[in-house]
Amino acid sequence: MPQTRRLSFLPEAALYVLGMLFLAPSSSPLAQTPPPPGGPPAGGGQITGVISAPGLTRLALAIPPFRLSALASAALRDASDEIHQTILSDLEFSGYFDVIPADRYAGIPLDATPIPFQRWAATNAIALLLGTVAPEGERLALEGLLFDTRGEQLILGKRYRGETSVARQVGHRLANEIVLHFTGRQGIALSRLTFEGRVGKTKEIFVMDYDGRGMRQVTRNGSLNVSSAFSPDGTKVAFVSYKAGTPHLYVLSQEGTMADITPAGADLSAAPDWSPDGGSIVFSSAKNGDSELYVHNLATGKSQQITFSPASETSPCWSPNGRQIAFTSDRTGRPQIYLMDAEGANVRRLTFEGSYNDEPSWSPQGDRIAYAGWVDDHFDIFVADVATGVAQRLTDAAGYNENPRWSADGRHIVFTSNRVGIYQIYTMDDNGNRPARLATPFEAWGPDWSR
Amino acid sequence: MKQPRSLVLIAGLLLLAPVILGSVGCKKKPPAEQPAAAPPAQPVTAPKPIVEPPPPPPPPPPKPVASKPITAADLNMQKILRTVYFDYNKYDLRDDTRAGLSVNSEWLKANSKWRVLIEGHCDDRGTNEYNMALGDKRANAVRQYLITAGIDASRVRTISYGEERPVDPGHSEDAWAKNRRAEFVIED
Repeated sequence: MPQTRRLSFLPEAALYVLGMLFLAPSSSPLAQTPPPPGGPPAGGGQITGVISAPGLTRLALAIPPFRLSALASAALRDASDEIHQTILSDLEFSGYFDVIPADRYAGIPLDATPIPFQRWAATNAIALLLGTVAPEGERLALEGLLFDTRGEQLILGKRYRGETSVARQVGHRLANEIVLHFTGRQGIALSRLTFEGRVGKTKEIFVMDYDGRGMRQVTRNGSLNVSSAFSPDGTKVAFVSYKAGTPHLYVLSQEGTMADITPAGADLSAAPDWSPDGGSIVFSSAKNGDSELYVHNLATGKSQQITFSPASETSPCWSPNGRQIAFTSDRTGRPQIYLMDAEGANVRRLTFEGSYNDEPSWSPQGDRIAYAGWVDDHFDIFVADVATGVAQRLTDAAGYNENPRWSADGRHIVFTSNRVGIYQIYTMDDNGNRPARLATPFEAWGPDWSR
Repeated sequence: MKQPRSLVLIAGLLLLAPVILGSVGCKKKPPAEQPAAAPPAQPVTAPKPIVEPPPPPPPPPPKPVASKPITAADLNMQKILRTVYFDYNKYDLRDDTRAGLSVNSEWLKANSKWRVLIEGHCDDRGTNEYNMALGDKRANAVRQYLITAGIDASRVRTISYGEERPVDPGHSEDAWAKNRRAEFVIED
């Protein structure tokens, strides 16, 4: 049954309120210049219909192909198609929407004025996105107008300019605006994944868009590189490399500079994770075979030991509010997941089921922890409620399923699985639905998802 | 067919790859005895990707003429020191592990100019980061054995590769058993 959902309406004047976002074609393809002085504020912020709970009916959207000016070049047509496809797949992936099939609106003219809203409403689409792509010199300009088909009103208008090479980013941005409008939450369409991939006999660090596009190798040292983790602002990646002979901690910046941040005496380090403010890194380091957790302050260069146990402590993960750290310890003989204050006090055990639970990942909302648990001779992904410890198993496939990490909106989990015989990166909804492989032409492990 | 241990091969003569280095005699004492329990088959691949496994040594030439100093790389190519093995998710030293360590520690005592790096490795039935810690524990257990046996602690350093460097990429019990190991890398 279609939802009767109250959409937000902009005042009459808002018909001209177009959030102006410019995609600069410089070396920094996502640089964003502010709107022209005195210009109107960007759209959004007038949300009345917030959908967030799982299990809600998805909102039906009509997103017909974009209109192109008659002068459009072939390159522009391709870019227009790419933006369109990007928006479709972003909105489908988000889980909030169903994009209705084109045959349902086959007879409706896209350039009719006024817009035949009754006909669009009859398709069951509650909203209609009309996009127009036009050349602007060597660049393209996209105008995206989102209409409420029942209220017969414009509800969102956005304009983007950029080179055809950033077509996908343009699509991701508009998709994020649509998600934000309907949900009040930031979309994840511009998020990225970092992971380690097999190169020859070793592993290098890679980064790609969340949808598997735009993959690039970011380390090339021919050594072993593992455990990559995005900084909270997404501009840096921390990881472990053996390139100096022993496992050290490194931070790679967007500009390509690489810093060895290994504290003195921590030559056998592993498993870095960032504090939510980006100012510190928690990691494990072994001395005399004993792996303990340390917090390294990047500004002061000082590090502090926060666990003290003859057992192995590994895989630390900061809580989103910065107050706690989840980690793995085998202090009872087998690896289990524990929580503690970020300073190391008030340790409590989270997992009790199963003989081997590891790789905790705290959800962005702070209420759940995903982890890998050993069951029936393989690893599956579980999600435990932080308050109660009650866990739900999300994968039940052949092969090992490991390394869970959350998307910034807490609605998706990326993980590693060898269910096809080799290790690959997968995403799934936070209830285990819709597992999807992000195929790479080599084995891949250990993903992390940018905020 | 079991290949004879490299230790046996070098029992009389330590052979260097003659193509590169000519040859040189070596009077290292062979190990007094073989371990009681046979450890799993010696991995046939080299531990380091950049070092190709050596070809089988040819018969010794009649007379060593020029002697070049032996390098650590030479010794490692000859697999002078034994790889030792562990049980699943454990780092305690089995009897056969101790037997191998006994042989290795004798060699280290008799060849005090060399240092050694102990690499801890794991099978892949664990998570990568926990296996890093487990590999550290295995390497350290071996190091403690050597120190107790009288090897100077400063000669022995450790590293863990977790499950990142399997000698056998398979997923059988046989493969796992070969991968749960500590390897010795002789250093200058």
